[in-house]
Amino acid sequence: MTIERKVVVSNVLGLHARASARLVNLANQFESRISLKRSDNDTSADAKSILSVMFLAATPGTELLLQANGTDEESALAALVLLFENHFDESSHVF
Amino acid sequence: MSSSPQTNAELHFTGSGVSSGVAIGTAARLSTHARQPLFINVLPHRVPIEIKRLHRALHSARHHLESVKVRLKNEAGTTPAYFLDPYILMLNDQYLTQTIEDNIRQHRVNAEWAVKLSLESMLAACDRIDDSYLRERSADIRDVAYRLISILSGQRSEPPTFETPSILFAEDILPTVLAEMNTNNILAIATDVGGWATHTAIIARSLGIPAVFGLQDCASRVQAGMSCIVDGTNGVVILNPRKTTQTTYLGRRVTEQRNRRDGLRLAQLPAVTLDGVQCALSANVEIQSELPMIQRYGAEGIGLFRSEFLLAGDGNEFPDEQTQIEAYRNVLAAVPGSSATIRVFDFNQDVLICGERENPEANPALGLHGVRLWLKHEPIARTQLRAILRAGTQGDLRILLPRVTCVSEVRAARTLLESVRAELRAERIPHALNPQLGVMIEIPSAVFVCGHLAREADFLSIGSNDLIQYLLAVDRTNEQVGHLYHPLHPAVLASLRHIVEAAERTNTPVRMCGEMAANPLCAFALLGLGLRNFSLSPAALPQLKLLIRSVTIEAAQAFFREAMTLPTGQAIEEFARSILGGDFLLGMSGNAFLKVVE
Repeated sequence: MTIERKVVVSNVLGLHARASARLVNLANQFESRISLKRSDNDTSADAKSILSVMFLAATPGTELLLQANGTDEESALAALVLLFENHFDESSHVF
Repeated sequence: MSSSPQTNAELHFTGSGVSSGVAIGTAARLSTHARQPLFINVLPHRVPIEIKRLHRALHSARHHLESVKVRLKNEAGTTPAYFLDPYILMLNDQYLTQTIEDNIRQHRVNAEWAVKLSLESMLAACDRIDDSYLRERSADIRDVAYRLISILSGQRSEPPTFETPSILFAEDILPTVLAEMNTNNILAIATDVGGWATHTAIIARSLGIPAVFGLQDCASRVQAGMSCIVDGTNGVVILNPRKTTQTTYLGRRVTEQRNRRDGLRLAQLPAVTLDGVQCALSANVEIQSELPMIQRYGAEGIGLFRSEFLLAGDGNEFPDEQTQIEAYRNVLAAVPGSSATIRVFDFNQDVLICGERENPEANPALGLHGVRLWLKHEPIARTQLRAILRAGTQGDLRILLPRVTCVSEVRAARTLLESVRAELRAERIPHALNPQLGVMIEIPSAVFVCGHLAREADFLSIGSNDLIQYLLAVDRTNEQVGHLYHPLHPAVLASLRHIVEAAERTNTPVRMCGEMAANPLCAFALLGLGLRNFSLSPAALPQLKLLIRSVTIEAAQAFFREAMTLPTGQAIEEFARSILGGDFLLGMSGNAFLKVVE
């Protein structure tokens, strides 16, 4: 069964190359198939492929649906949601 | 060498100085164009062989970049090393591999030609996406593709090296190429394209190599062995410099090296102007690992501890009371005998624990954030206040409220503080009795009520970055309007003067806790409008101190009076530059700050 959660790209630069790299590195630590789907135009990306994530062109404010399917889907989704909520650990929103 | 008498004429080019410093030396050229790959139509039985070649090349490129990453980490630190991650991941990317393999099979071509075809289709896909920030990505993809093509065609196994100290000229330098080079013999870098924010610029800065990018047509006019000067501080490149020019720059180089060396020594000297006015410098701190650097850079206290960074560590759980007490005690312990100011959690709604966020905001900058959100979540606020009061038994720990817009917010916070204090008293837990409570002035409405705020609060802290963004309606990270972010805009200076006047009238301490003071031109204006208290990231403090120690308040005040008659930020910037003078500014490190706007 696929589970899903909505997130918003909230870091200042959006899913640029380094943020994408963090996302893909994290996704690759899980067995589950993980995808990101844009709420606005239905394009989707494989979270384990950096090119796929980069071509999603998710600018700040983009709403994404995270979907995971597999043995560790729960923890995969939780970890990825956390990455989004922590703004990819970028600090630029303060000040 | 050449019959043209023009060959030896001194030539000047200007670009953008992306990494500060002056270098004088001889030119070397770096050819950065990947040679056009060979096109070969392969027979069907050769297809699997080409696919195997592709996989070997991917593996070798990946392996190589992994080792570059390790070396870069040792030489330049963790942050620049992480820039290599996207490239390494791309070389591991199923989608990329699949696309190239498909091209080999479909068109029956050799691996290098298939890489070229794949690159072209991916760059076309990038172009179709209507977003300027994708330009950076197409450069990343091109970098990876060129790398694969060179490996496949056996063009390059070793990164370019230079036998003698050289100034490197190129049309462009890919970030991975700079990262893999042995930079011992690279005195400076000059390229025709690129800018401040590119990965290559970031690597140059972290390796401390002076660099000027965006020189347009400079590289093609350079011949290897030509004598040249790169001034990364001012974004200038000079070919065939005359003797007099060389002498000038030799002098500047000496001054600059001395100033840089003096930076840390300076940290131990007092922050006093030439006419004897004492200033106070403290540090902005985000993470606890920064604490040990603070005294080395000469900070007298901690002007701003951004407590929301305690959240970033283990997840989105808010740290419990005990964890916070320990963190705040560590902060105090880093500045024995001085004060430390904890800014209470400044977050947006999206940081809040999952599920609590129901309606995503269309416009978070104008939404529920800062003290509004903090007051709304009383349990979180109470826990934080308890921790600050309890840690405050060990020193002068102060509380700072972010994004205040109205006096009622200060009153609500004070009521909460009283109630928490009563609670601790009832529980007989030791706590600070009378901690100072301050407000951030970073939203325009706060500027205009800051007389009232100053009467209710114990101190004022100016958050320049947000104040400028809100005043000018400019998001500095938005490429389309970022150039309009101008700290010396007359509206900004007038607002700051208004705040300082209100503070003087009410006898309330005021401090600037923003990066504006890191810019020498701005710092001069800030002294002129009456600020004496500054809090900055630790590494930027020596530079501010150098400025303070090099000017008189009288001159700064005269400058400010005159500046306020000028109509634009640009005009004020030019005026400041004309007073402080190029040689003085050249000595200041971190040229990013020399240009008020990029």
